[in-house]
Amino acid sequence: MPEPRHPYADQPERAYWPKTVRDKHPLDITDWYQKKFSLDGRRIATAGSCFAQHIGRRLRSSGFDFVDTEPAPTVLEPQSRAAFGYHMYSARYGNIYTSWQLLQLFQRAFGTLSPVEDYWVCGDGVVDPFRPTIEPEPFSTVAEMHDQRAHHLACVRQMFHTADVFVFTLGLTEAWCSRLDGAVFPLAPGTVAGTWDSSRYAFANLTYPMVMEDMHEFIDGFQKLQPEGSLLLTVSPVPLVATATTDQVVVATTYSKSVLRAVAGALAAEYECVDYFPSYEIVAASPMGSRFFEPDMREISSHGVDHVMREFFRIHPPPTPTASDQVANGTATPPEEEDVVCDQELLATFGGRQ
Amino acid sequence: MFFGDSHLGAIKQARDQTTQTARAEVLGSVEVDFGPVCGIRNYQSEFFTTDGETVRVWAPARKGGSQYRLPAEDGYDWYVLAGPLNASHLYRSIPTWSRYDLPGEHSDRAPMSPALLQRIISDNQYQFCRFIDALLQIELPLVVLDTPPPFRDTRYVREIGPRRLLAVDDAARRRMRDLLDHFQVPIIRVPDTCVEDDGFTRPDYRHPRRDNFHTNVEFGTLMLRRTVEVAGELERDDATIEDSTSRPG
Repeated sequence: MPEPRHPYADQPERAYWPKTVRDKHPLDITDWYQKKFSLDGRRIATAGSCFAQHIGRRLRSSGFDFVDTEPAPTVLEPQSRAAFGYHMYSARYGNIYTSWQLLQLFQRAFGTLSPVEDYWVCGDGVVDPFRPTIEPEPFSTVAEMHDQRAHHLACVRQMFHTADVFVFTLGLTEAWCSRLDGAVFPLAPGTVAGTWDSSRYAFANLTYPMVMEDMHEFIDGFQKLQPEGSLLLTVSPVPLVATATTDQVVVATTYSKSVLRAVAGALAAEYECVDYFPSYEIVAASPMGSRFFEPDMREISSHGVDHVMREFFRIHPPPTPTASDQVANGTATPPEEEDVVCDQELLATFGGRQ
Repeated sequence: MFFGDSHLGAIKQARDQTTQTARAEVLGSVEVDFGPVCGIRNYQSEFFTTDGETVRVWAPARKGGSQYRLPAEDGYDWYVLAGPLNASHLYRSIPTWSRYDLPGEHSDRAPMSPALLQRIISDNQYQFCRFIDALLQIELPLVVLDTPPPFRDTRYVREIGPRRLLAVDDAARRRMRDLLDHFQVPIIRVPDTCVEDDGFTRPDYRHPRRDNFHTNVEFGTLMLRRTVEVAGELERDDATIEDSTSRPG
């Protein structure tokens, strides 16, 4: 083979901005993604920040072998499932915003971490600090909460033993943790439950090395359970609703997403079993403008979710023709707005009160 | 006028099958009609509309029946609704109760919080709650007919367990009764003599086809008699109220 004239000479069209972007309508931009592994016949579990709920639901409804080890009671009406943390992900862990939370969920499930923080008081009852909004009302006793937690962690173990593809959406770098042992919470103590105490709790904004370290440790653990397992990473395009840093919220969002995007890319380059799907870019990259954002410029419209999943299903076709396919090829109307549970929204409520 | 779920079958049979003399003995001067009747499943999703003056029910239309409106053209003194206290749609879900503990239970099943059980029940009763609210808005003279407790010898009791099944049934009934009390809607209760000490309906009131849920003509006759009694009591109460309110000074 003769040497190319220069390093770009043999690059495909998708490598060139003018050919891929400049002369195209944003919705006609393709070639976002080349898969590293197939999902055919594989058991898929999902977790992550709010945006991951869309991915999970679409995978579930599209006929993939979706793992749900903590399913809703069959008699519970579909519209009530999310309020109790059902059908959001593959078990009832609620939103997992950070790599730190993911790692600790794995460690708590397999007994290598037992946080000192046990419960948060909420009104007349208690909640689980590690999923404080999993039910709309607090548990009446600590014992009841312990029962719920023990069952839940058993379901998480089963999930990691069952799923051979784990789809994780990285959402945030900002986190709240215990000063005692570094146990990390999805929400700051004192927001929905518990009491804020700066001598007991601390804020952390994860750096690239910290996220990398969490993910390395998680991937190692996952690979021990599933030597043939794969990890599909995405980054949520949903901006922060509030930041605890001194930065302006857009600046803080850019920091978070940059770190997460860089980690996802580095892991995909490092591990054969890790892939990155660019949902972040499909929604938030400059050629897309703000077309997929709702007027608040934060929430993603169902049109945007449809577009992301259309690109996903183009590369990972669902096992059978589904409603999603019909939406993609224009033979069916898109689904109603999806009701997504987002704990971060609660911060906006607190902000509004100040 | 009776209307509502399929438990009215026994009452309708009681009215239709008894001799004229026996019927006169049960009903006295009371006239009884039946509106459209359909299975409880038809009341789990939207089944009516209201314009604030009338309520139009379409649930029976799904089974080949026709829509009907309330108040009925003929006008009735009392409308007796069967269905709100029927919890069978809940305990029929064997996969739920075999997989989940009830609040307070401890087994290898998944725990269910009191809030989750209440949500399951309130979702299940949502359409009936809306319906009752709509009927009260149009000031329909409404009475609710109790549903007989479950029978002991059924596959549901065998699968779920007698104590657990009754706990589900009881939790659902309690919530609906509280609601009806709140709205001051009278309930025609199943006579205590029809229920065994353990809370199940006596087997001699079971439908001859060994139906899992429905009762026979004898039970229908008892409930018909009880309805007439309650209607009489309500008439007397109304008269008393009218009498007391019309009294000067």
